[in-house]
Amino acid sequence: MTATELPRNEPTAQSAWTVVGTRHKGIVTHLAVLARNVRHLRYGNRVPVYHMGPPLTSLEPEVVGNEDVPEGAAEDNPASSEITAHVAARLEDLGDADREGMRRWHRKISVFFPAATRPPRPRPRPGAEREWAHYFEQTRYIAHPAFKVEEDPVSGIKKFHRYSCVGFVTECYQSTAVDQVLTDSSRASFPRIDQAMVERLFVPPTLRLTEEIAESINLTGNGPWPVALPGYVMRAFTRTDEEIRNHAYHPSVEDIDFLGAE
Amino acid sequence: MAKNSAADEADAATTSRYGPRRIHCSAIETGSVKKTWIKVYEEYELEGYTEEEKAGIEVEDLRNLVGVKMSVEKLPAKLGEIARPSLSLADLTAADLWQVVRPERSVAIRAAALAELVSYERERANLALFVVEQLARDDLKPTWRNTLILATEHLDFLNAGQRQRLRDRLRSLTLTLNEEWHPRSRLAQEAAVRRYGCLIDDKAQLLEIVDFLSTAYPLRVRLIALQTIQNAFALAPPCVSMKRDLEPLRDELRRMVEFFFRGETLKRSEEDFDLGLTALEALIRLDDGMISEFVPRVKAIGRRWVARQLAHFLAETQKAWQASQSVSTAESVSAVGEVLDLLQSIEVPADR
Repeated sequence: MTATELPRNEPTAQSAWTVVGTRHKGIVTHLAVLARNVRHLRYGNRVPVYHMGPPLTSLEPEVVGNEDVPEGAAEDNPASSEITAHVAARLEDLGDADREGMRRWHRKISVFFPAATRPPRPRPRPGAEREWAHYFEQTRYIAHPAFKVEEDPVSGIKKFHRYSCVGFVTECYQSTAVDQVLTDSSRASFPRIDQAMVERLFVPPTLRLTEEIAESINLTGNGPWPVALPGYVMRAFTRTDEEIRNHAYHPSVEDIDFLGAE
Repeated sequence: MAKNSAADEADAATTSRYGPRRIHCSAIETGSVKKTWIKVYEEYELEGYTEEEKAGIEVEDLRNLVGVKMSVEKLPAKLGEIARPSLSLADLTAADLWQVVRPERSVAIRAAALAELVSYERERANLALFVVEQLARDDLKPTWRNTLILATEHLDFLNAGQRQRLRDRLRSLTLTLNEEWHPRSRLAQEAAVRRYGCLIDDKAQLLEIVDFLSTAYPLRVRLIALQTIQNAFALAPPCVSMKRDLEPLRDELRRMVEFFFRGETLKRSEEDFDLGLTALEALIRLDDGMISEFVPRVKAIGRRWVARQLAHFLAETQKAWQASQSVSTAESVSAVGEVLDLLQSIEVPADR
């Protein structure tokens, strides 16, 4: 088993590029990769990560309690920050070749991202939904699909990549270590989530999933939508390394909470 | 100058997409109006403003921005007496924001209003025109110029004339910005190259990008330029005549790749790997016939991840070109496939 809830008492050591996630009320709500080696990691610690955020449920204030061994240039990169870690997943045989490859992938995509942006205040007031919709757009965030290339409407040349937190982590691993983490979410049998779940995962608690916000994260119509969720990736990492590296995981609806699915 | 308690602070925050922009009026007592307000700005990280620009910030603008309910005549005043503001730029309508971006306003306020205006989808077409016209001016203050450049990344430019004007201007500004060392100018320079790359409607114009590969530019600018070449031919390889036209670009890329392979493995920095590999990937997308010659040298580097990433890139390119279903691409698809087979046939020593 390579994907688990982090221990609450005895800390564990986790290496850079391990997948870490935030779990809230039984659901893994956010995924990231560790930006550095972390010697002492417990449930609920804040950790330095590379990730694609929102969702915002990960923005709980927590105390950092780690001694970090610098690995990569996390401090210099706007795409690195901290999240609260409750779960972790890794390939047991993840080697230097994998890490070097992922590090280079991250450097490559970093130069094609716009300047960092702070989120608007999540307080409900006129115009808040428009601001959040705009924030999702300008941060290149997307809910579905998990990864998308946006092209210039005239030249057709790629303008930028859009990622969800799941897309960011899966593309990172697929750049070098894994063939394909999850099956294609456009497949008819991919689990579909309703509006309530989308609101829980992607929208600040004080706001609703308006049409404006839904469109900004590429969710059209009334749903349900086959959104790739963090729990699916965690569940994919409960398999053997050989399976993870060579066979895409096809998630089921129970995987939304990967621990509950065991 | 005396500071009152935090409870007396008047708070009006607005978030800009271009960086920290929390305008927070601390309760500071001072005899100088301008100095009071400038202090407010300094405290709240309005980065990128020169002293001259800060000095140019108008009290009237600040009053509008934070929604302070008092007249200019009443200033100077203890800021602790100012009522908690009820308005921020985010509360203004689009029509009001257009008034704020007018040239007679101070740069700081215009920049904040422009950032807010971009969030109105229906305003973006007019805003695109406005940005192109503003960028064409020669008397731009650095802060305003950088704001305009950063805004181009969030707007679509559909008109051919606008696109050409903007592309030419961004190209010249990339050079101008190379002389500046302020972090926001660096961000603006990178945004300029990224946006410039998408505005290339005739791929022969890619020749212009050779300039940005020069060592005179920062590493990130060179990497963006290399990725721009990759992006231009992500969906289909260049046709025969295009390949001929782009020969000087391919020469430059080959030179960069040669330089990379000549280095000693142990002494290669991350920078070397980034430039060398990204240049090699750009050569692949230009359908360069010499790619297969580089493959054995990948083995010599002795880094398995390099071979793995190149294989990934070749497979991705082959798949995309195949999907274009053009007869003229068949030969290129086949050539990429051969390089991929060659790469996968060589055994690269494990480096884990």
